[in-house]
Amino acid sequence: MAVVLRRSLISAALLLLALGASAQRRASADVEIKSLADGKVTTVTKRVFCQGNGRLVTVFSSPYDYTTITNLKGEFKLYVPSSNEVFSRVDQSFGSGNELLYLFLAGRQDNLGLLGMGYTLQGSSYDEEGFLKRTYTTKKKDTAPTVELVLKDYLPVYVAYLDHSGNVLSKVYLSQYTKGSRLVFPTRVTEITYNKEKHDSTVVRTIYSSISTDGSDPNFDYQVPAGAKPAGNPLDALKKK
Amino acid sequence: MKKFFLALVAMFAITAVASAANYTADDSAIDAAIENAIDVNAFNLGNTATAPLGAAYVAMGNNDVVSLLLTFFLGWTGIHRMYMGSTPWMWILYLLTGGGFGVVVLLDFVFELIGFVDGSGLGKFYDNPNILMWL
Repeated sequence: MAVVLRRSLISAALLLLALGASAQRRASADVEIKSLADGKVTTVTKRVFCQGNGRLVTVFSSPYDYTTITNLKGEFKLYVPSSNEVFSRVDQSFGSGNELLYLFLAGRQDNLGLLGMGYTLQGSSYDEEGFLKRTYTTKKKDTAPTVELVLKDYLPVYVAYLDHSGNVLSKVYLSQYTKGSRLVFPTRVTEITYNKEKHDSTVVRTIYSSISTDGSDPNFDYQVPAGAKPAGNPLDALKKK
Repeated sequence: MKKFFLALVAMFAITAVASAANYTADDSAIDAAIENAIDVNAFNLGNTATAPLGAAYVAMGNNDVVSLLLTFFLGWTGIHRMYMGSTPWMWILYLLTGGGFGVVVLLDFVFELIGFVDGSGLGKFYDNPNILMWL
């Protein structure tokens, strides 16, 4: 009885340690996003600070300086240092669950968070070259009904979002995975979205660099300054110059 | 202009490559298309005198043309509102809603075009803090 009790306590302690370690995992990265459409390109640069519990701080540097904080519940804040204003909103679409760095940090890279977004795995199969293809579907109306996720060595390399007719709405390519680091992560993500009406496409290229699992940076625990002026909704902030 | 057409050709190439049944993108073609595209950030929004393409339009004395082009090509990003003088919130709002789900940016372009064509200009849209700048 004593042995069983001792083993149970040890197992429980190890489980708690593992859970705690997961929650304490931290990763940060420089991100450069270039969006290309109609022969024109815009650039956004930022550094993301992500924790295993879903807390995500993003420090934008270009084209404007501002910082956002969010979590898995979509409790979102946007702070503009130049005007000392903070915009707060609770909306799942603003949550950190879709952030790629979080998905890999939390070990959800095998489904890229699709299960959490309401998708259901319909089937999976291997092709001749060893790629594992998984098909997910959903009945939710505000998103693509079908998603095809392709993995190589259990790492996602390709995602295709399909409409009801099976036509491709957009494709995402994940490549140039980091090697030999504590966090295996794709440093290059390319998304191509097709616009059938315009017979054109938009390309978004995201480059991750300076990836670090050192959690000592104070930005991980960034808090909006206490004296920040709340902007209850964007309209209030927009009326001010 | 040459870079613009090269970027368009590269875009078509990317689309063609991406439609093939493979799981890797043509990174070289994508990088080339980005490199050859007109960098809207180069406008350094609000300071067209230092921007390469913006300077050309300033020399022409016609910032309204730049506004119109930005609205037409990249209105969904809110870049045109930033160029015409607005707060960062406007850009964020446009970016998050896709230009007011496409409706607001379409109306932006229509009213700008009207102002451009009838000679009244786009002056009333500059430094306009309203989301619906044409009201």
